[in-house]
Amino acid sequence: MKHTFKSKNELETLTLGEKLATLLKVGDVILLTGDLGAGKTTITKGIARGLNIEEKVNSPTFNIMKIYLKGTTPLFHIDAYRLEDNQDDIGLDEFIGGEGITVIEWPLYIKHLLPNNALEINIKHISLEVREITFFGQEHYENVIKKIAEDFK
Amino acid sequence: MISLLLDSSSNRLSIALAKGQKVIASYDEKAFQTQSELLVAKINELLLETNIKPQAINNIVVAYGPGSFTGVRIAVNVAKIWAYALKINLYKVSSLYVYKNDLKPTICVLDARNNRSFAGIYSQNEVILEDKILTNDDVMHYVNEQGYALGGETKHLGISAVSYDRFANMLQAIKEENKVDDIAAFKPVYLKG
Repeated sequence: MKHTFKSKNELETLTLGEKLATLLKVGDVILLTGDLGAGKTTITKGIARGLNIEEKVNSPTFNIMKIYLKGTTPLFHIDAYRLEDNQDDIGLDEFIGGEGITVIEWPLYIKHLLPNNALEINIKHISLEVREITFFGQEHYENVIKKIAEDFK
Repeated sequence: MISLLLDSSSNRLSIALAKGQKVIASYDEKAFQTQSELLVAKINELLLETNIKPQAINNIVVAYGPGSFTGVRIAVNVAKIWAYALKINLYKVSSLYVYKNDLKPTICVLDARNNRSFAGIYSQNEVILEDKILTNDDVMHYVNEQGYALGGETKHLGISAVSYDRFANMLQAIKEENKVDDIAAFKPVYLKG
């Protein structure tokens, strides 16, 4: 299933992430795609807010992964950008699909570690403020997409 | 003879102080993502509780993998530093061996993800199968067709494990063949990657 939302500004993207978080469960994996500056980290901030995480959320481009344990559910935020061409096993498979919700930016660089079923979110840059946000998902994620679609008509 | 036993190779943190063959204080809890924060603090708590000074410890026994990528490194690092600083004996033990049951030969496992397990088969006194990665189907074959008991963390296999005494098993590992000669060069075992 596929559904596209139009976000008028950063605040709407945050709210979308916040709503999404309330529909997710432990073990869920979200793949974020889109150009630099599209808003991948912004939607992750929304997800963190929806999970009642109060710590500052920023892009883990250099850390590769940041873990937030103090919310309703643990959140694992992975940015695989720096893992391109790197096949070393650094133990990420213990987190992806594990005991928390995993959000992965630049998932194409760790294809071998991704589960068969995940929620993919593509963010497309339309203008300075406006974004087109497309959700792709099957099984449990279809229900997630349907519920968000009802809330963001 | 005082021994300090350390294992952080799964999602638990297990620490004990033993006098001879008897455990006199221990900590053994699930410690998801908090093992590194807790390990040294908990060792200190156990030392205070038993009124034992670090200098009185004679041996350290550490589970050195296989298991969690980060987990296998945490206890090993602390064990190396303490053994080096206190100039005492360091003994290594398989993190699967700690789950053996002395009454029946046991295939001991930890989840290696992607339908695989870290697995080793142990009886009371011998290694029947060296630690390796097996598919979960192969593990179940050893259990169902060859009659081995199943031990370890078995949630991913959906069946319960036989009982075990982690610290008693770790104390059994205090023997010459498990002694680490070169502490600086000692590394954990991960098996993957």
